[in-house]
Amino acid sequence: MPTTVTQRLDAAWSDQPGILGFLGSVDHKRVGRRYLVTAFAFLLVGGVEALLLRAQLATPGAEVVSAEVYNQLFTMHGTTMILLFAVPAEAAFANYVLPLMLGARDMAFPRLNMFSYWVFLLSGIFLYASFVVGSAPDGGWFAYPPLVLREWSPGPGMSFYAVGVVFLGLSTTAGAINFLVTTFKLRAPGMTVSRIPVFAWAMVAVAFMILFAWPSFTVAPLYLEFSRAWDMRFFDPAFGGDPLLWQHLFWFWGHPVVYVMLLPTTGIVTMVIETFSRRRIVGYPWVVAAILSTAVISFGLWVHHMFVTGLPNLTTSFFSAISMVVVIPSGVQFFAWIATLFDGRPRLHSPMLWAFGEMWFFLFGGISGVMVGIVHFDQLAHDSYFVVAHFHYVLAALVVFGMMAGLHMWGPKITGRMLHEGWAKAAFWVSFVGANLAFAPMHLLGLWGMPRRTFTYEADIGWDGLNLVSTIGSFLFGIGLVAAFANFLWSRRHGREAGDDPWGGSTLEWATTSPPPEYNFARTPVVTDRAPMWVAAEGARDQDLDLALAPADLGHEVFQVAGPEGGVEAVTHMPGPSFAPLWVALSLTTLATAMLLRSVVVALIAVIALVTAVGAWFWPRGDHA
Amino acid sequence: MRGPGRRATTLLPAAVCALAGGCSQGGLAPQGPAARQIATILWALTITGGVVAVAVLLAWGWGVGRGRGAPAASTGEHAVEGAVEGADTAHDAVAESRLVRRFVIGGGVALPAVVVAGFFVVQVASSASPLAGGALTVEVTGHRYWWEVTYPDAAGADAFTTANEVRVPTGTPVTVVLRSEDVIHSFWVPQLAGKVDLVPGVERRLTFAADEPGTYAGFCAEYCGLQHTWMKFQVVALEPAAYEQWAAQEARPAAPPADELRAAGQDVFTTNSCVGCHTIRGVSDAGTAGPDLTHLASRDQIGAGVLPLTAANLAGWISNPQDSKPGAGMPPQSLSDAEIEALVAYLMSLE
Repeated sequence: MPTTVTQRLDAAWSDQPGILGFLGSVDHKRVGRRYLVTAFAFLLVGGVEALLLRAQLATPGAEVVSAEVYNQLFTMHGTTMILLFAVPAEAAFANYVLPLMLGARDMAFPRLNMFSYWVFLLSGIFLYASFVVGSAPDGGWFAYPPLVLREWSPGPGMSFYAVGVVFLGLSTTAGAINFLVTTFKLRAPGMTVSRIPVFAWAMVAVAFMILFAWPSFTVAPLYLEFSRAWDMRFFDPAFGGDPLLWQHLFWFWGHPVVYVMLLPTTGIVTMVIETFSRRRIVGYPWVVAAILSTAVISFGLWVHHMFVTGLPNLTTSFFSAISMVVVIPSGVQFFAWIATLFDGRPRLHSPMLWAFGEMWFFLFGGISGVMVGIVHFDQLAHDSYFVVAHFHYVLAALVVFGMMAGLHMWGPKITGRMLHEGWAKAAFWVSFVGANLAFAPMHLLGLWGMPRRTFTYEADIGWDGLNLVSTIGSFLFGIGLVAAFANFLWSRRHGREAGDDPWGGSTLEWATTSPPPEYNFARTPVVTDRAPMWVAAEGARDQDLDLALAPADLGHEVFQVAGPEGGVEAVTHMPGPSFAPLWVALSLTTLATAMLLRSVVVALIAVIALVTAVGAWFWPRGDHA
Repeated sequence: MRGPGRRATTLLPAAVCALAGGCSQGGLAPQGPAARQIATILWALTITGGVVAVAVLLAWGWGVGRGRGAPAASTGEHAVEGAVEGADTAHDAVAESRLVRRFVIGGGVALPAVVVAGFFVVQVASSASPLAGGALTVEVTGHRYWWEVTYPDAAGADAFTTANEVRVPTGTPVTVVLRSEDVIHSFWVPQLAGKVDLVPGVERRLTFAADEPGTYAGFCAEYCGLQHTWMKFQVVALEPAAYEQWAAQEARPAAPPADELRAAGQDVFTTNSCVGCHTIRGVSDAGTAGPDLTHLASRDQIGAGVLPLTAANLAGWISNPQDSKPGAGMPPQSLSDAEIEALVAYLMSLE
């Protein structure tokens, strides 16, 4: 019988060793690490695709890849980077950091959380299986009908896409529910709404966006697959359908998803700037309000992707106006950062450099974003390389640099080891120069008339110079990122021990060990301040964090809080390891495959497997120890 | 705009262009009123955006500079040294609200609000097209991967159809009626106008005019499949008199073959699968799936921009279009060398 507190907690929270422990684990940190590794693996895959595209465009008339392969590559590059890298990577940070930052022992629904990961992994494999059967999706990542209907895309490629993204959406939605409930119900006692860290607020905003946006991106691909499989006519004008229906449904999801990728990274940058400026973020309520209002406004922007489809003036003007309004909450966040730097004592450690990188791309990507929000200018920029430049500034640069800031700040928390600082800074500068070289020339190419999604261009029209610069930049960017990851791997073995709190951070993840134990906190901290680690006197801080609450603390239990004040409401027993999430995810993979094969038999097998798996998931546990 | 204002709006872009080394092309070198309106907006947005960017960068640099200059109390405890600012004292509360007022409200709310309000005024002011309805109507239909161009009411002539080339008289507003036969395409001539999508099932219109005679590159701007890249076209602006002459010529049926070789070529056309898809007015008008070839030799390019029109290129194209444009609608033709030679001689004579 274990005797000490940590021994008892270890016994209650640890996974079994070996493969069974691996497959059955529901620990949010394991989920977070797997998300991180898988998402960044997909970043490498999408990155290789990008470099192949850039190699093809480096010189006019090149034949690095054929037109057919080029089209598959840009389709899978977009799909991978957005759906298999950026969104899951945000979930990775949230999975790992959010419960720690909130002082919680796990996510609210640990099994659902592990389920999210398995579905993410399996749907990624499902999408990439299309390459194995020689028919990768090639209709563009936004898959406009009628091009992607069976008549014009007869191979199974776009069915892989349609079924794959619906399947993947389950993972994203389950993750969002977890982020919301964890933040609302499992944060540390005393963490009132005005003490919730900005990053957690960003994840709350993101989770709401996911819950409202993803249904649209579930319905639309299902319409698409039904059209492909059974000749349904959602998009066929001859039968009263409309090709633009897809575009509305798609962008109603597709614009908010930009902020789903962006807001967590601005949350990360806020935490980095706070930590490395030794100053609480200036205007906390303003920053939180800005994040939440961005989430709301993001649902009023979708038509600015459709300015050249011939919609009426009044419609386009309305959406143009909303596109202008969204600048204001971005401005609020940006100037709150500047004010914090101004009034604090910024230290230019590597996380801060990456955060500054995000600010740089936020500034220029934001300005070009406002420009394309003007209808007449968009008629020039739309579907040209100007737009490619704009969204790569925002998605490929801003989002990636924000994540790298997070990775460099929280890396030591995850591995327990410090990164090599000089190496980290060198990787930053190479990436920064590379990203600018890669994406800045595209603005001019677009204004010159280079349309996106074209696999080559003529030699005599003067586009070769800037394209070559862009290709060189993209390779530099790739080298910089690979160097940063190599540093991460190096640090796991050779890095200096990080200790609990290497940066003197403000929030609760720095109150536990690096890496944290399975149960995160031996004693649940009680929060009396927005920056609990910075509560003025060191003595007071220790006292607060030491407030041990209730003996139930010592089992497989968490505190559940209520209302805006964050008072303890209940002590909840948490579910332990289970194979059911994996089983459900595999059943769903089978179901997705059945849709692809249009096989009733396989579908029946999948449904039977699914029913038994869900039964196993909810089987009464009787393990209340 | 007049006086110094006007000079600034023309000189500044010119100076920026000289620095950037390239306003020779596309939307930066407008050749008609519609594109010029867009270019004016582009410069207004770019210059304003540039000023804002510089202002923000200065504020940011100032913030970092001042912050770094502040004295740091080293505790040696953490890698990031220095005491923490912003604890909840009365003094800090006053400082905090001053920072919020100056930075967050001043820089984060007021500055973007003023700028985007200005942008929105530009947006509303420019919503009217600089051109009224066109004096000439051209119907353009998008196909994978080429453009069918029909002149329904050419002055004093019958309707005629050509492909991948839109000829217009200079100084005349031209309304293009846009339709698609298959998937979504987008009609884009950067030097003349903004782009408009061709959406199946509906009709879209775009009005533009070209100031000067010249050839302006056109692109399909909406991804439409395998050969989206090679779905280009040209807008050729001619002096009105030259345009009338061209239109009158186009409206005529094809000239009869002038010699035996060409007559043999015409036979090859009519006795093989060519007639199933192509029309040569005066010879056969049964084929509608591919471009009208009545006056093929008056055009500059084949395969919607993939090759310049020469006898050698045309021979290669006919024997296997999939070589230079895999995925094009036209299959390889099993014709003998002699047949192809005759056919090319005939087609190259169709001025």
